[in-house]
Amino acid sequence: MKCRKFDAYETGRITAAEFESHIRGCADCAALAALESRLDEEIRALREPAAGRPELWGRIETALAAEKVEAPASTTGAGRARREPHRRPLASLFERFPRQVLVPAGLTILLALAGAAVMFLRVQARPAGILADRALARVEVKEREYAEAIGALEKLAGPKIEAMDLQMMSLYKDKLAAIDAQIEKCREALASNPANAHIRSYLLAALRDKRQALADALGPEDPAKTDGRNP
Amino acid sequence: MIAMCRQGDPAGYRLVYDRYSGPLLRTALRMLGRLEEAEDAVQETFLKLFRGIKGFRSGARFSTYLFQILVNTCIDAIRRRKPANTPAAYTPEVESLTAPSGHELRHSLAEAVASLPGQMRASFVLFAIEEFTQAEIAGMLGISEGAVKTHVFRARRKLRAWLAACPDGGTS
Repeated sequence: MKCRKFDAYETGRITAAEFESHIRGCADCAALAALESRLDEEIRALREPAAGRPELWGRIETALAAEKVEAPASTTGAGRARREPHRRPLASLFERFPRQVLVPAGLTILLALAGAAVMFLRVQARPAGILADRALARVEVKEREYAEAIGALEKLAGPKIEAMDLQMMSLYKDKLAAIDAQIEKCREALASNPANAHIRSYLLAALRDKRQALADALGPEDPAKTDGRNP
Repeated sequence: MIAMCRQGDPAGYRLVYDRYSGPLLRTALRMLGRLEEAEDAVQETFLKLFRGIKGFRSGARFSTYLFQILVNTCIDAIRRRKPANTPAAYTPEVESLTAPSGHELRHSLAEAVASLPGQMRASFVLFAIEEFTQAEIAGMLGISEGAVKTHVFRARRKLRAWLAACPDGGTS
């Protein structure tokens, strides 16, 4: 089909009235217009409501209940509500001693506990999952190396991805967008908790994935891929 | 309803289910093509809603928030189908789809929609079937309005080509 009027109509370069008058004399465009209304009809049919199997709500309810049990009970209102009927363990103390005695005593105990906790934490080594300063520095160097490798690869792979066919381009872009989102999420989490080893390892994995995806997009001539250096 | 969900009240989630499960399931079905997977995606959406409802801003549109969770869940499910690091496992071209006939057409059109590439499929389903605005879709997918427009335009073009390849073409 050589007539380009339908494209012009579709992209808004000619008005509906102009197109209407054109199709009276153009069989190709008239066929395309008929196809277009047929497609609209079929799409309307796709709007029919979909029905899940009756047990779907039961599955969701069970999954939500399991999630609730796993989540800390104090984080949900329902968790609080469940605890309310139980008698508080310190209730008998409140009944036996006046508040004027209990409040200062409680505050004194709390302060003593807080002091002890501070002392304890000072003498303790870093807990598991927290990186020591030297390890953190090493990880940061590694991240920088990845970032540099990614920067270089992006310059090479970017035009290649743009030149791919639509499906391949979408797949690569989707994948890179997902990895970028993961990197962003890790960086946000690290902003408040920079020494967290778990988040650092997730970030490194995401950077590694991005580097690999870009290398895949580049193909065999990618120097980073062929010389086997890491990152 | 939202307040109940925030409190973790199952009745709140039941209300969400009664109101939105139809459209959610339809979107998941159009995105994933299989009922079992669509149901799993809807279930996962409710779990993510449970975990994230406290982050929902009260001024935002709840349906947009809910569909955003669903669409991302579906996109994740599509990605999980592919082996790791093989984005080149491409979706078949529209031209290569088997052309259906007669009563199979509608079902096959749904399959053709489900074979569109990820973001194109999401943009098309949310725009043409669920009737969200392009701005809303852009927000949900984290892409520009222009990209949504392009995706919808290309999806229509592909589906039109597919329809033209059907035995009864655009004539029945």
